[in-house]
Amino acid sequence: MRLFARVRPATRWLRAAAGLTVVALGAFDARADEVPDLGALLSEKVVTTASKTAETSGTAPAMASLMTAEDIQRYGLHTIDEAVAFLSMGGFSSDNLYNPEIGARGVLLPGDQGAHMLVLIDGHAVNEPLHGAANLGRGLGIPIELVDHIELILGPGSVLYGSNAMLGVINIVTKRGRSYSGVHVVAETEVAKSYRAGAAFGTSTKILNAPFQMVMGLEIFKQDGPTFTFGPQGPIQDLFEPAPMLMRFNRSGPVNGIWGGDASRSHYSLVPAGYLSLEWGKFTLNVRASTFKRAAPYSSQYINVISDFDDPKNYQIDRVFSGDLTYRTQLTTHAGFTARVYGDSTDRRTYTDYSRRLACRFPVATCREADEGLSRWAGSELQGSLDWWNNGRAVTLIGVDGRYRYAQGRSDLLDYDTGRPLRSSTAVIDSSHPVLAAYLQQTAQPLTWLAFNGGARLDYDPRFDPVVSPRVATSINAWQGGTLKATYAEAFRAPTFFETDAYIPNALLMRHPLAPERVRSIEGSMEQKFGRNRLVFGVFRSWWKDLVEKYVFSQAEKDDLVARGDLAISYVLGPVAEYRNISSIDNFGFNGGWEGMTGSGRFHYGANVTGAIARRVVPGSDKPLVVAPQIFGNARVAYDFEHGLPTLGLAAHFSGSRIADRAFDGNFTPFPVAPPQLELRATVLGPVPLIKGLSYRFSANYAMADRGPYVVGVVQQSYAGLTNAELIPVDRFRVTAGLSYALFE
Amino acid sequence: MRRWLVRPVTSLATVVAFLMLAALVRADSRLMLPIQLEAQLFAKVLTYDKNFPVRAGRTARVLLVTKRDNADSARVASQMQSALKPIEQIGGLPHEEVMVTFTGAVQLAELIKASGAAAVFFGPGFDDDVEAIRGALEGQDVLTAGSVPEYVPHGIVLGFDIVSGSPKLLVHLTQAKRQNVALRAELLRLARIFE
Repeated sequence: MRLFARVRPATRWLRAAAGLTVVALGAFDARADEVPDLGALLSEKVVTTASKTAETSGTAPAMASLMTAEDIQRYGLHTIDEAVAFLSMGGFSSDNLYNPEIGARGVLLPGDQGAHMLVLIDGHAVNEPLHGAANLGRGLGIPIELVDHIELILGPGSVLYGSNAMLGVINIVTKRGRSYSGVHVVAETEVAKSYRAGAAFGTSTKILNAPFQMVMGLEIFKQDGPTFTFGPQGPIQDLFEPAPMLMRFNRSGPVNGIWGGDASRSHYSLVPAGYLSLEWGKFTLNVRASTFKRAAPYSSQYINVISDFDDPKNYQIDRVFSGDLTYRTQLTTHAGFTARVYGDSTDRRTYTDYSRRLACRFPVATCREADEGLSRWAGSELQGSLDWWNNGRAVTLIGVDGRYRYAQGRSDLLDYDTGRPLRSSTAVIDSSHPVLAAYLQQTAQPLTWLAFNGGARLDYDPRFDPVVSPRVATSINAWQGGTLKATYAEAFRAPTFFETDAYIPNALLMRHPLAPERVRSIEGSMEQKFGRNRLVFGVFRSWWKDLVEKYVFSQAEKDDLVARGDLAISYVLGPVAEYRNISSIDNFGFNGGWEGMTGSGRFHYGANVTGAIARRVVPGSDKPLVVAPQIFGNARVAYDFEHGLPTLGLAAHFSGSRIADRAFDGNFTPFPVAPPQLELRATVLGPVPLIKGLSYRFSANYAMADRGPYVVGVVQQSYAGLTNAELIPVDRFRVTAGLSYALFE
Repeated sequence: MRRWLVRPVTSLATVVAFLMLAALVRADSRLMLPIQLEAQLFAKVLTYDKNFPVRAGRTARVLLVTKRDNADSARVASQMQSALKPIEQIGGLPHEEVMVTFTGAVQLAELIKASGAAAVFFGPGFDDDVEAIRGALEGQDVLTAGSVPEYVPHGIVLGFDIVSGSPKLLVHLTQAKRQNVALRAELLRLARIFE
């Protein structure tokens, strides 16, 4: 009896659960077959990045954010990082007045140059192997008018793309000839700060009876200013100077040990760029070329580290050329095949002038450090797909990717006045090796309301053990318009050539092999569509490990290095470091977003918010991440009056307070924290009356806070009574005016 | 190689390479909407055709046309058939789909007439045939739709495209009138119109 008494309630619960399951499954099945209204269908977001196939964002095996060309225009945006800040869910950017940094879900690694976010342009990976860098500001080199949409896939994405996809994947998809036909000319200025001029051409026709589409665009962007005032910071002593032993921050002028003043000559950039996208039948060809020259008006931990103040000859220049040819064919009704060949060449030169003797140590007025790096890679990717029942419900994707990479780099120290080398080259890199990968992805939709996506990628790099990056995801179309999703994914970042190969005697040592950085993540989300609205909420947790950082030796360790003969005794007082796998990050939080439009399609709105805790963990220490906000998001509204009248847009992005990059190792008082930021942008755009094809766009941008989360200047650590950190200024107010003209559309 | 041979051999090689390239290029496999979304759009758009209920009768018959020896065409038609199957009604009516192989525009017109098809769907592979299909179907009472956006400017009534990551409807209004397709104004407001 007792046994029955125990079992019966359990049986009852089981029966009830089974009954509910059957009812629910029936409900799911019935609801899944109902066709939403037309407006809702046309508002669906179609993404191609998450699983290399076209699918709605609800069924994609990751949380996806899609930013459209219309929204980029409507809200007065100019660059990818602005689009991420003002439109995306989960992504944010941080402006360092040089080259914006991108983060996601509360994680940003300052100084990483974009190495933790994989950037694709029409599916072609952009991150170069020497530094892992990818520019997402003006330096990207894609005219913004050519961008059709941007997909931001949050979370680890190495399963199909390999290295760098730790924060996620950004895919910039350019326009097709049929939707951008004609000649398009644009001229735009951020009043008194920059100008941009560009021209593009698009066409769609037939050649040899095969459809042919082409879009080509060229542009030049030039920025000069604004002028910021820094400091004064100091006086700073220089033991290598004669009395009064003060540091020199300029080639000329008084030697007073003071850093700062008006930086009127050293905040500029120049970006000529061009992009060609061509489709002819089964072939697609993309070619990109750009140059990005920029100068920052300050020195910091990562930029112009020891440079003179306001010297316009401190600059960095990147040159990029890439090509990608793809051939796609359907072999049988069940099997498709894609072959791709690609090649990239990037080079970077960085010039830093410094007149401080403590740094230069040669009997010249000014030292000029010239760092040069070159990386080239070429490869091929072969991919096959098999649709088992030819209904899209069970598709296997299999691919191999092989590339050969080559990198060179060196650092020279020159006499500024004569150009004569002062010492042999250091940080010499001359390395090449193959990188091979294979991946497999299986999608399955056994029921109309249930879908699975699972896969893994194996990456081989001779510098470390092979890496496997798996992903499993499931989505359930649980009720009318509602989708539940769960994903587990892993990703990695291969150490850059600079991290593994650069050796600077007595400054940057290279004694330990590096392992790839790893991240694994689990997340769950719910998406609800009603009419032309989409509501998303998700929670996530990720664990990062083996992050590569510069390890700075302690005095005792330096003494030990001297004893071993690894360090010259004359450098025992200077900073000595090496790259190591040092830290981990523990990260969790939530994303929420709502976007939509009214039935008429004239009123658009959206808002996103992310709350995230991210802590950097090393043995014996657990601290919040610097620079990254714990709460951030954006909101926007726009109204299109139509009939020749303008469209009005208002967008905002906000972030909570952000801990400054040197907060934990600078010993500053007070503890340096950038205040919460709210940036507003109002835009008006529309056709110019009476002139067909001519349109205008004006926008005004205002940032509430005047400081960002980077410590600038010579005082990077509390020093001899200089305990205050100076935070980077913000360009608070900008007005942009632009005209565009379309011919032969 | 003898000098007098170089020129003709080079020319021949160029021609052969060009023909091989042309053969490689010809058939296409372009990025399309997810087929389930395309099927839902197709089913929904038919409700905006004022003449559809009269044309279709009690059951809407849809021809899914495939191009002989074109794997991509057969793939899309088959996927469309699977995607339409679970949808209870298209254009507000029960429906049946029939796969047919394209043998010519005139034959297709006769088949449509004989079968009483209310709508015809074309997958990839018909770039060279669209003009002929348009001519053959003038005056017939049928809605034509294609998965390839480039069909619409040449005379297929309804097409689907992806612009800015969202579906876009394309409508050839002149051809729609010639095929007795009367699409409601609220649909036309959402579509890109060709005339």
